[in-house]
Amino acid sequence: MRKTLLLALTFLALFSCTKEEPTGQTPLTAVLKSDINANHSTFQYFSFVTGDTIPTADSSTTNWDIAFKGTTVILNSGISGTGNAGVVILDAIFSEVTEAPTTGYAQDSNSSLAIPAGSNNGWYNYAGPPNHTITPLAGKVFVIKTALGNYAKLEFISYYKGAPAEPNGLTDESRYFTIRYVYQPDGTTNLE
Amino acid sequence: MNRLITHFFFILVFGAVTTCLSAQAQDSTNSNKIETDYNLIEQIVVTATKTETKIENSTVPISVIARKYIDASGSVKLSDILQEHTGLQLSNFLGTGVQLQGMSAEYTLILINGEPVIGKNAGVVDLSRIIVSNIKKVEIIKGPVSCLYGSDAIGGVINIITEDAFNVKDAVQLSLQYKSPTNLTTSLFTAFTRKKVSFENNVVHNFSNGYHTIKETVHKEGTPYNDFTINNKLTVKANNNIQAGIGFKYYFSKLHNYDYYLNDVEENIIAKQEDRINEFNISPFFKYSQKNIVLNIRNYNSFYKSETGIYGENINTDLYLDNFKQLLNKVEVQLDYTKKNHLLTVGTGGFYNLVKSNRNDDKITQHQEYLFAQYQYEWKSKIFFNVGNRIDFPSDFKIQWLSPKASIRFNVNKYFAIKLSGGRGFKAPDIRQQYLNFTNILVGYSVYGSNIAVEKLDELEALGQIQTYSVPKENIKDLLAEKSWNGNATFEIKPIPDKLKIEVNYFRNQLTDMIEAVPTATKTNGALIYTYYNLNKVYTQGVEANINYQIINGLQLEIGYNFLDAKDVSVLNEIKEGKIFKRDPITLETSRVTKKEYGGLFDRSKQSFNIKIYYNNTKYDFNTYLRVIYRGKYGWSDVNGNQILDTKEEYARGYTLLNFSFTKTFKDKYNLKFGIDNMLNTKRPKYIPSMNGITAIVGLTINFLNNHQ
Repeated sequence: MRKTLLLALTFLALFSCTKEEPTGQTPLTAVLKSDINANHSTFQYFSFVTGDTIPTADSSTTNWDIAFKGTTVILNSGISGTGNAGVVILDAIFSEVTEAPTTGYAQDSNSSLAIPAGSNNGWYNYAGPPNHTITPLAGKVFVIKTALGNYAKLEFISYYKGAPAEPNGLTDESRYFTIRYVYQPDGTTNLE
Repeated sequence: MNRLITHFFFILVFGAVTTCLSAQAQDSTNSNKIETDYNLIEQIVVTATKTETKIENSTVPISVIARKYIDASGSVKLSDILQEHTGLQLSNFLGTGVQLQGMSAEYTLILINGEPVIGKNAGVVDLSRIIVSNIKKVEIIKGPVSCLYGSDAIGGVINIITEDAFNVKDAVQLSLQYKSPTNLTTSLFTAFTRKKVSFENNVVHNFSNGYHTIKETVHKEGTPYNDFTINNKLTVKANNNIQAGIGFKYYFSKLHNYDYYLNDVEENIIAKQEDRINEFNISPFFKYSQKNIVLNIRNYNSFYKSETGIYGENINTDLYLDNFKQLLNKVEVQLDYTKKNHLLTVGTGGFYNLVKSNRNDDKITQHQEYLFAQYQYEWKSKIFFNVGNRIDFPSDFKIQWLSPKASIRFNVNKYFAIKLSGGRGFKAPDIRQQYLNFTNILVGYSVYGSNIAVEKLDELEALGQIQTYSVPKENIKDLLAEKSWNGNATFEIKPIPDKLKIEVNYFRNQLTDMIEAVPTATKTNGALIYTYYNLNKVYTQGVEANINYQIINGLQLEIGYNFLDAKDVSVLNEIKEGKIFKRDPITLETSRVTKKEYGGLFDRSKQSFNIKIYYNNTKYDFNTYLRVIYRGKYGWSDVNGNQILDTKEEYARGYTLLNFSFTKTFKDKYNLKFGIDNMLNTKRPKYIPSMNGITAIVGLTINFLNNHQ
């Protein structure tokens, strides 16, 4: 039962991915992007503008906003890229965040990444033995300033392929990001 | 097969040795069968006050598991006996521990004949180490008794009291028991008493070839083990005033198992795990009693050694090695002074503790001295009052703890009594929390004890290996003891005195400064570094009810029920502030956790009960013992990443066990036992993999000396 539901959801998500980008005034839609494969030796780059992954060759351009490798998440900013991206991490519910803050955006630096590594520190919890499962922290909303200075909000949904309802760090295929985001292409802070 | 040969070899050798020992005893005239009915003796309890007290006069919640029930149940391990008792909940993390009043197993103090059992794993004494053969009774005190015993006695105290040869007189008893699928226990108990001297010897061999509950795996859920225990006690009653003696115990255990293991090149290989435990105790004691003075001097020396290894089968490499040695020397002097209905107890003692392990850098030594005092007062068998306190002077802390406790009992009339008690308990930070130096290379994390954490972090920082700190280094401080407040209110109703007793107890425990490991820094390779802090605050409260009804002579009915509410106070506060979220695994929507959704601490059942029916027929010399044990659903582990228990996927299913046994005695000499444990064939492979289905028990006990009567 649960699996069918999940499957249905995945289809829904795929469907919404293929929808054309919202234009201007119409309310923004949340996009569920499933299974971004971060199981490489290099980062997997991603753009909110195209809603899709970006080839490694473009890593020194502003074509990408965020990138994933294992549990490490970087932004196109500071030490990680040529863009001017940044993040404000809020303790909130995704739908409640309707307005991006205007200040306080952290960038990747030598001392710390904007989305810090470590359990309960950035975006995930590491359960440790026996199953070593990585679970995205619920109630963490990442308001992102993109490489080109637009705003988006993002939450992490799963670290495992197919976003299983009861992930197991030992048996499920890991390093597959499922994220939900809302991108505001018009340059305003409105995220509704 | 090899083990079977060893087993019978053991029986032969020790059979011979002990028969020689008891040869002298055989000509003794007062040979007696081992008493099975301790109705008279069990009325006297010692654990709650360190003095002999009648259980009917006790001022605190206390219960006693008498030998007749232990014998009748056919249980081999102490943990099996305890799980059938109201308000006791087994927990199975790194060994079997027991929760009292909802407090975690590390807050239960385990004593054997009043002395602490050492060799804890993650703060818990593994109760499956303790074999019930030779146990006279088990006394259980609920609520803190740090006022007498110091550290660890927060949830309560379980004191295992072994047989006293002076009560048994002369005995040679051989016992064999098989428990399906692969468990065999052999024990030989010999005791003799000669005017002033009594000696007892108990040898137990218990082994299991292990068993599978889940097919298609190399791992045996029932771990194969081989346990060997010898207990000796020599007591001399010099005259009416002086009694002295010495106790001796040796325990050896070997466990092995296989499992899949990830080696350092991330290949899945089959590895063998082997654990060995050696334990050795010597405990001389001296007791002087006069009309109104009792002086007790006790010395206790315990040595414990454990070694664990995980070895790759094909490649001859050690994947993991762990060794742990502990030595404890303890001396205590206690003086009781009675005048009319006043009883004053003062005591002092000290212990020296040495630990050497590859979990720590150097050998660690600690010592601690303490003083305690207790005053008991009785007024016309109506009111009983007890107040006590203890001060501890530990070597590696500046703090001295006060652990007061007061309790009172009113016997309103012969039908009704009230008990009220309140007090403090504490648990000293253990060696692991202070000095652990552990790095798991496979998974990639390190844990440092708080006393060495700063030094370790400095070293790593100098090497440029620290990426970030999630907790500032200045926040790492010497740990304080965890402290609790407890209150108990018991109502005792006896609608039919001596036949029917209903006891209802309300309890509340509040524990502060709980020690917890928290990620403190991240290394440049992404590995986390944990250390310990005094952080959390939890409470446990609930109601325990027991009905004890002697329906007719020989037919005993016991019903117990426990309701428990155990929660983390800081979690409750965060829920109030709307800071805890959860994500629905199906809809993937995030919402705030409500107070109602919060299920409290993990591994706690809100409800549990047991029903026990014991029937003893003296005419045909048999007894039957039926037990129903129910444990309600309990928090298993976090699924949605918010660390707390809040959705139904995070609960483990509850279970019901139905155990039955039948014992028939022939000619006062042979005891034949048949039993079926877990008649309902309950299995919980996900939560309790070792839970075997229907289990058969067959046992034979022979009392050799009765022949000579």
